[in-house]
Amino acid sequence: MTRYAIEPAEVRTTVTLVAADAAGLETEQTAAGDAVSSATAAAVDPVAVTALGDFWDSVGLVLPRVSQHAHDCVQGVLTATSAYLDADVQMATSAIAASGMGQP
Amino acid sequence: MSAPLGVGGLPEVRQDPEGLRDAARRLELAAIEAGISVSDMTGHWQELSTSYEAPEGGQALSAMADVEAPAASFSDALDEAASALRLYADDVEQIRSELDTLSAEVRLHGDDVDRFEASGDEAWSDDPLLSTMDANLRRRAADLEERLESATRTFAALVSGIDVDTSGLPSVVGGDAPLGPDDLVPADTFQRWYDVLDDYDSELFSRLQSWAQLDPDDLERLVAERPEVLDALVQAQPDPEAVAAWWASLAPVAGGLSAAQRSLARNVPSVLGNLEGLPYDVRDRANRDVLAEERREKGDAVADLDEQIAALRQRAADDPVAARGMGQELNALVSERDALAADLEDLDALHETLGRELSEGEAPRATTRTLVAYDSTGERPLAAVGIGDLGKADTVSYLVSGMGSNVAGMPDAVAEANRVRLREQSNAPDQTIATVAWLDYRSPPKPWEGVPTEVLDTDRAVVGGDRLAASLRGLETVAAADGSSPYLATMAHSYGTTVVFEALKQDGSPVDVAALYGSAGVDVRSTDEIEVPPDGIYATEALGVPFFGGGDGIADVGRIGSGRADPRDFDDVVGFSSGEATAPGGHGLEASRGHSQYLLEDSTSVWNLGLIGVGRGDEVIR
Repeated sequence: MTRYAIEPAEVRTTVTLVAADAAGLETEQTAAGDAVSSATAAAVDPVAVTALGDFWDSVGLVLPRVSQHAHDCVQGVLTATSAYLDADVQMATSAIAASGMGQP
Repeated sequence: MSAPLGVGGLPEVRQDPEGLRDAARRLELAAIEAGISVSDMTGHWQELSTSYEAPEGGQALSAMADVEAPAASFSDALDEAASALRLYADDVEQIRSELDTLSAEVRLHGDDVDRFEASGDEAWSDDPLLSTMDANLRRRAADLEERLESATRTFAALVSGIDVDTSGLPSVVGGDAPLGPDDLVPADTFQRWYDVLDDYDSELFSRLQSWAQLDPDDLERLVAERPEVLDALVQAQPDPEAVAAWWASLAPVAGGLSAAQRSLARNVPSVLGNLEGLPYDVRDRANRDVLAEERREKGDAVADLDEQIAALRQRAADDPVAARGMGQELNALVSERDALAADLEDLDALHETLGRELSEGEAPRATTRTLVAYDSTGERPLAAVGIGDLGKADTVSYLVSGMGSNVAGMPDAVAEANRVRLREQSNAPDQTIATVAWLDYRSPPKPWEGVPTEVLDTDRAVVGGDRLAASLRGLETVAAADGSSPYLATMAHSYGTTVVFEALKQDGSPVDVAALYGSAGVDVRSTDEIEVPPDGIYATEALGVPFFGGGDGIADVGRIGSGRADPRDFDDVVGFSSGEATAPGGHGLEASRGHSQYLLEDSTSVWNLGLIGVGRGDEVIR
């Protein structure tokens, strides 16, 4: 049976790094969105503009989903760690499941 | 009689090929950076395997893998779109070039027609040569128009054919309805992530609040039973304003500490000493208590090992036969003893640097040293030492050290912070000045003293930047409680500049000005990503042994190896000199040479820092 051995300080450090990475991902979302807008301005033709709009409507959805999933994972682990600090291992297990990471 | 084809009858190319190519370049860059971010994110997540051991640990670890395929699909899609844009740009450019040629021919044709009609009564269209030429030009114009439309249709088809894989990921809030770029980018993306940590820290803080209600003996037992909670609280960074309000509420009557505050100071000094928002005198006392306890423990351990070593040597002397097997044991004991003694030496040096502890209620002076932070939860202690009355100063400068910095270097760091303080004071004699030698993060080792690539990695700067941002917010809060708002500067060396920029990425930065010397590179594409007032960033680099393109011989290697930006390359960063110079009034100033001389006494760089720190950056020697 796996024991509980959680080091909250290390978990926090890891989460800080993951958060910074995810924030970087969102920066790229902004950069890509801006680039598509620039492409639209440079393309001018309505046919090209429409195609670029459709492209971003589809592709632009990806990173928010990635980000949301990462956010849920981070939230789950922090909630679980917090519960562990309360010596509530049942709640820790539930927090992981509830965060969308699946049933343990 | 019909008119010949004129320039106005030619198709118009309104597309901008350079604009299309620029957009393609930016999409490719975003694709690369997004790929790196996802790779880093999943890699960092795996580090939980060493700190989160639990029955559901495997589930948690594997969960982040779900982002890999969609993120790769995103990068691929951007690359494909970039390729389509380049192709479109090439087509448009070719068509535009041919159109320019055609346009010139049309003008010549018009001139020929004019000349023909001026020479007689015959209509130009009756001339076989001119009418054939006109038909030819019209055909070519139509062909170019058709090619432009075709290029546009091809581009549209290519872009429309790009697909992405989002299987396994949740929908964004609001469903999959088509959205514009602005809808898809949360206005405050970076802060959202730190809000998650803030919630966690707030919850930890609520534990501390409940501890204040406990009987001191119960608290002592609780802390002894759950040391990991204590460690978690040392790392936590709850909202300084909430901390300040809570602390004040524990002692509604001014003067001295209440019983609850004393209980916390006695039982959890390591937490109080690092809690941003608490008065600095409280933190100083708490941190000095922890430092004293650790010096005592290490001193006892060294003495104990000395006794063991002496006893072992005695046994070896008494029994030469048995001595043959004791060598390994003796070596191990001596190594352990020497390592502990070295640690103790560092702590003793820190203790000596601090000087006398203020008595309760005693006001700090300009030279008073305060142990602002002391965190010994990691392998090596982290610390920050303030000089002056931090909570009340008009001007505060944080000096953030670079790679290889640790408490062993605190005496030097404090001396340098004092040097800058004195220089600032001479530039602003009517102001109260304070400086902080800030070594409160795990700096990467120097490449020749540890893992050589650590300094190229930005991870430690991210975590350190988070701590620095909290410290700056803490200062702002404590000052505000006293009705002041100091002019706040961050001055950073080498990897410290990387740390400062990570801190400045967070919202609500109270920093007024940042001065960078010998930067190991900053992880931004532009200064738009950080929060500093306009013209608030200064940078310099000394002459050294230039590697690829000039620098102090170390900083440039750090930048090139890491791919981080040289802050001096940003248009809005003000350069300042660290070379030999003459100050106003004719005073000679010394040059800094190489990577480690920026804070030399009487140097141009310290002269300039003394101006920047008090808001007179426009007077720096450039």
